[in-house]
Amino acid sequence: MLSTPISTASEPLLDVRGLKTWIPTRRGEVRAVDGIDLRVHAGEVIGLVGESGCGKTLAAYSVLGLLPPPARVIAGEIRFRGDDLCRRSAEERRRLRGSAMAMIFQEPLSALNPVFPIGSQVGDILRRHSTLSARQVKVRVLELLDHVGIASPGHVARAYPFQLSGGMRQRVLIAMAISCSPQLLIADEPTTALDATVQAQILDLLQRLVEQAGIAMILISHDLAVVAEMCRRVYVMYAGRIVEHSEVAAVFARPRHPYTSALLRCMPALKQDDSPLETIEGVVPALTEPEPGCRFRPRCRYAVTLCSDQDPAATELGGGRLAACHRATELGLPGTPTAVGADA
Amino acid sequence: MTPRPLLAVERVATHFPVKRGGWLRRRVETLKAVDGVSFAILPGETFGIVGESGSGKSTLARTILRVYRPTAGRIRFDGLDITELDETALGPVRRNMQMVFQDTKSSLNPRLRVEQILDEPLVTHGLPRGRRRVVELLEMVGLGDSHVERYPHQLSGGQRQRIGIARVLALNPRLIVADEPVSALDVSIQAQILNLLKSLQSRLGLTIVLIAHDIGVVGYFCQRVAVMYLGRMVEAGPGRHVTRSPSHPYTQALISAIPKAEPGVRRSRILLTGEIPSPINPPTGCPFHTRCPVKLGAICERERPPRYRTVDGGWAACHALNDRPVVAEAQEE
Repeated sequence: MLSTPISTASEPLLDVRGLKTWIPTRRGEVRAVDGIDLRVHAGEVIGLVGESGCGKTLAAYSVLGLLPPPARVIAGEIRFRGDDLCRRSAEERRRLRGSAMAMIFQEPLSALNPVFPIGSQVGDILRRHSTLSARQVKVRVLELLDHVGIASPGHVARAYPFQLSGGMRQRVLIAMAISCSPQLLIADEPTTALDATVQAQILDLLQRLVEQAGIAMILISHDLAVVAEMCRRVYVMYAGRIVEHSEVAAVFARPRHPYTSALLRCMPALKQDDSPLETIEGVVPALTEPEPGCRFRPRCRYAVTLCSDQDPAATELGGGRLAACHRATELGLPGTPTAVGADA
Repeated sequence: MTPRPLLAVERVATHFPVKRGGWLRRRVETLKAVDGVSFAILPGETFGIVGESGSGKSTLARTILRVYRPTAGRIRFDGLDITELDETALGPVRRNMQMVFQDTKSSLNPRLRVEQILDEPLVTHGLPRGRRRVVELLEMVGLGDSHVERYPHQLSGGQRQRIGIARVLALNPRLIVADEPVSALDVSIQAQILNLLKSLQSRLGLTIVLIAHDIGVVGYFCQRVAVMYLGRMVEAGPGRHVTRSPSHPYTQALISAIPKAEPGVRRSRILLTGEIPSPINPPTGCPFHTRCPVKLGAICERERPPRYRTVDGGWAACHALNDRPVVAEAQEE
């Protein structure tokens, strides 16, 4: 499966080009998402990885049209099924949300309304996007809850969010997201707030559901290991830009951007010995007025003069690989010691 | 002769009364947050406690430091029984056992500057003060002069955690209990803090209890690791062994649940069904029997499994290991 090339002939389901989402503040524009390209084909699961503040969540909100003001898209195209969403009205985008594209949030408790029972909240989406009768909605809600592995759907449908555990709430959100059979699902850190064994249950469920229904999914995560298990392709984001894109196996075996390499090597779970963990010194730069040159330069151990003079463009490295680094081809960057798969 | 443990915890239980029901049918039930835990830590050792939410690991941490008074059992710090000590008698003991917290936003006073935050423990314990000491402490944690005047909100999460560690180091303690010190931080920052703790540990000969939900972090950091489930320890042993080849079925499930960062490999996970039971009426016998994939039968429901020996002084409390020798739970004196 992994040997098929990344680009497929068919038109992508989602095609984001040059997306810029900026937030005006008193101190100037925060360039939270600053010109990213991203493609998702039908039925494909891709990963979007980065640390806090890199812009991955705002990128997702831009696609869904859920940007919290004053953040707004100032440039770029978001083509969904060939149609540029940026030209659509708020009402048209609302109709797409829930039916054609859906989102799963990190914090299931704040994504659910605390004063309505679960059944009524799941039913709301069906009532809005389908022509089912009240009775049919009820039946369908129970089916959906059962489908996401909730043991007693009738009981849970009458319960309020606070009465459920974190894992159960996330199952409910997944039920809501898939209720109208969307083509694209955006899952924003869906398991970050959960315990390891519950995370395994939820990842397993998500994987099974998207595979069965052929739903395309963008999995947003800070955890490269989660992405490695779930996705075939990954986009790595840093400070509002996509710094690397490739098949997951290739990224792990032989990263081409120093940030990706460092990120892989500071995960304690991958350590084989007691040597100190690799760290990325310094912090993510302020995005109000980025200095010229590469945004990772202040923290990059491989930086040369060119890096502070010129902003590196994303360079095609063959086989669909992209890296935004001046030295992408000359550096033999280390990946994970355990990574399997062919060298790129 | 084995050296005297710095901390010895013997059959400690911490229970909380919980009021249930309305005012008509009020009843008080017992939440068994920690329910009979024993372990000992030698000076200079790093000991990890892993568990998911509700396993009682944070309650155990607070009980060790005598924030809570245990319902049963004994806690000895450097040979001194601190189980029943009152606040006055605890004062000098507390100087030697300090805690690093998870949430640096709420554990640092937002109205104090870094200098005042680091000065406070020195005042409380009557130690030599002054700006030089503050800068010295900041340098120990990789910060400097320039941070003295800042307020917590002017620092990043990683920097705030460094202040939290500096505040603890101010007292020169012998034992540091770190409760999820890195779980609120990004991976790259996590690595910085773990490296800092590790270098401080070897430089100052600190004894560290690291509590975390992330078995990867604990396995990397600690010489010995214990796994908690529903208020009980189910397995303990050398860090590498517990994280690489676990013996208890719960530890096995926990480890197999962690994504392994090996792209293209679809592993068969041990998926547990259901969720951790309530510590208000915990299952009898083995706490894990309700979800255990290798449950033997009635014995698991009735009897608490003893500790069976694994390797290198490790043990696991599971009836399925009953062909192995039993390890005594606490040293009798």
